[in-house]
Amino acid sequence: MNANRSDHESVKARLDDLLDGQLSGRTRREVEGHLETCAACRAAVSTRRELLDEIAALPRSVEPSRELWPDIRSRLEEREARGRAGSLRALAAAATVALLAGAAALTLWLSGDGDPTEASRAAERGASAGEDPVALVTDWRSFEREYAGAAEELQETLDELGDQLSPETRRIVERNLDVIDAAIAESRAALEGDPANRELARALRSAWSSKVEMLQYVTRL
Amino acid sequence: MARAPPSWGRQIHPRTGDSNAYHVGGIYSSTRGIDGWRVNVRNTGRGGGRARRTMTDLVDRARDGDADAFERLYREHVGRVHAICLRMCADREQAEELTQDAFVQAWRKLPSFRGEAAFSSWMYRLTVNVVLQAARTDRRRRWLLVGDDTSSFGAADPVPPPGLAGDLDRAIAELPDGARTAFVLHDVEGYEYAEIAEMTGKAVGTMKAQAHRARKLLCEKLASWRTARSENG
Repeated sequence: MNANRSDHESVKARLDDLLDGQLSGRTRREVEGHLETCAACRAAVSTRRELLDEIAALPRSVEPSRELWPDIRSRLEEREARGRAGSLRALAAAATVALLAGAAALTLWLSGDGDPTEASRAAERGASAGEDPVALVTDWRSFEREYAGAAEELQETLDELGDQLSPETRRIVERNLDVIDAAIAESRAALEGDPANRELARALRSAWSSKVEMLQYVTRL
Repeated sequence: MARAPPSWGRQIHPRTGDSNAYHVGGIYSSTRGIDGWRVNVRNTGRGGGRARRTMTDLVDRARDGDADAFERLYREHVGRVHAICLRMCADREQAEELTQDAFVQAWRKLPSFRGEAAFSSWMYRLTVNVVLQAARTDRRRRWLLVGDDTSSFGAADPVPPPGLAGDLDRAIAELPDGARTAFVLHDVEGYEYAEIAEMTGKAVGTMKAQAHRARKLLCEKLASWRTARSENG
């Protein structure tokens, strides 16, 4: 009886694998054999299959509630109209400004004589409102992974653009990325020594945010 | 003793009756290699080749900067792109913003589209990446992709009126975020678990567990709504 119960639980846990077509050979035969004798598992499979039928019948196309093309068209035109020189100035300014606030907090911390309140204010100027300070501290490795993933994708996009960027643009981008990467490395090293420090976590996030924003900006040029 | 059907892992496509090309999870995956669901369904028979040539021509013109050609591509694909955004983020307003972002990004990236895959497959994959990237980087859109789902999914939720926007789509929208992401990408959009893991940067096993969890939650939710309705007459 216990053996049957254990078979039942083990098969039940594999029903989705069966439906995904991921079982083969002996395991598949065992599961199918169990289904021949177990009404509860057959019912579970049947319910799942009904769900999958409903999914297959879902509309693949859902029109937006409003016409989106005019906004898209104007964004395409804006992009065309933006002068490259103007874009470069904005890019350099955006990267510098975004980085400064995070760097201010980090410098105050590293110098060891910063007013923590001022450091916090400086960091907050660099970070968007609404972030959860507790999550920020406890989860900095997690947000760093996410930012790093996004930055990597954007970097790939940037690489794909290749010759479409002028040498001048590339120089500015690379110079800024070097500065930001140095800020990221310093913040991370400091956080590893003081993992509960909220200001450092904000400085790190601010540096990552600068990097992602700059890459987003330049890949839109 | 009841006998199991000959093959538990296969399913017949509800629209075409095709069993060979049909993903066991309910997804007509072969369409992703052709020219998109809608084009594929509509362009059976002799007109298919001409439609593909038209699509290729539109893509070539758009790649050369022809915004009118790109508008035609937009009209052809906006419904599917919007459906992907809507099901992934479960928010109408954000879905419309993300749909715009996807097309703006497609316009920008078109020069790098080499035509190895169908334009539709390229466009939908780009859309998924736009949504995932927004979830990672935009604080207004910080839905959890996987893992620490804390959002509730109680069977005690109010029973929606029948047929309003479809029970299934409503239940999908109410799934915990991580489970919804894995479920929509696998069971609705037909991506393999390995592809989803690559797109999200998470483990294959995690994505599989999330999708299976979503199925279980959906079955429970739909059953509870339907039972409540039948009891209320």
